Amino acid sequence: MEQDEFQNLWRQAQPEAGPTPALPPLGPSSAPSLSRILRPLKRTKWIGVGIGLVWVGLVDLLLYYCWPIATPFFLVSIGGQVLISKLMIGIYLYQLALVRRVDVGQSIVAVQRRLARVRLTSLWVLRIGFLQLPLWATFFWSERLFRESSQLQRLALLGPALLLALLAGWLFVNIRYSNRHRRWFRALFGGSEWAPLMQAMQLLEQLEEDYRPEPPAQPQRP
Amino acid sequence: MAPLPTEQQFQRWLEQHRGILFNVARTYCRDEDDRQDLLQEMLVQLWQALPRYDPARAAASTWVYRVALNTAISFHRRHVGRRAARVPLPPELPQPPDAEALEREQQLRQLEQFIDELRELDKALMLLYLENKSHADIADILGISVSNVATKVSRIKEQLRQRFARQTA
Repeated sequence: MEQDEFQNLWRQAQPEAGPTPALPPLGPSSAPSLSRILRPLKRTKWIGVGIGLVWVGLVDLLLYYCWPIATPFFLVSIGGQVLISKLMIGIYLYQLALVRRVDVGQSIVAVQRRLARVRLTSLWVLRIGFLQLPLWATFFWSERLFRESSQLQRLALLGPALLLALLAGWLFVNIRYSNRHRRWFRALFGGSEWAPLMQAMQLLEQLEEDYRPEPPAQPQRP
Repeated sequence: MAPLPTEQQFQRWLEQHRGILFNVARTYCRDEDDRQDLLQEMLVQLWQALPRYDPARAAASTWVYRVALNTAISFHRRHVGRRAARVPLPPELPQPPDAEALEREQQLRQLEQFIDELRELDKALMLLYLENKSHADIADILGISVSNVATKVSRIKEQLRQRFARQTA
């Protein structure tokens, strides 16, 4: 088959364009782009922000009332935990702001790259979230606990905290786009809930391999 | 600032470009229900993005292609897992009356199958090529260089040619 015949075949096989579907109820025309398609992404982010705000509000209250009586271990652990939670909420809000700035009338590569990057910022939320791990193993420590415990008991206290700190550090360093082909990465993000993230990575890969935008032309010297 | 269009003005403007919407929907959705959903989604996106359209920066058809394809790619990604198993034959095709028509239909199915197997962005490129858009137009819609378009179009055409040659053999 000659190559131009593909275009002929496509044209011949085109069904008659039916009537334009009735317009659905149209909101204000300045609504953010891809608002309906990206609704699940935004809903997840808003739920994350909502739950996060309730959580940090409660923990802040706890800190406020426990401040005079709590041990330094408790204050540092919970303070660190709530600080990380606030950082995660900040990233979620940043993602929502990025989604609002997508202009669907821009070129395909520009829009799809931006959307893929928005989804990939979820990796940052995860990386930072894992930093909380060791703090869950230290908040109940006290000076008295260490003073009155045996060597073995101290080891049982320090061991998990140390292991969790190592794990958190490793995950923080290694959960990134460049490791997407590693087996452990695929196992960690193999569930259906991570499908949008993995799809965003595939798209970004496609963009980087085959659809690099042309760099702006350099002005010629006279 | 230009006054916002009314829904009636928008409908009239849409009539000039509806062929683009149908072709994009046909390329990304084989399932009729999905295709209708996608068409509606494109209409909403066109309506919402219209105030930001600047005729000095892009021709109307280029802009419509961009909105339609961006919507279709995002829509396709969201629905791809849900509908992957359902790829029915196009119901609107009549039964082939003779051998030539039968061969034509087979070729069309091969072409559609080839398009189905392409990755999201390659699908967009393939559609624009089949619609006989110039390399410059394709580059403008996709946001890549003209030379990149030429390379990719010739690679995809070669794959398609080989596919047809294998089937014929």
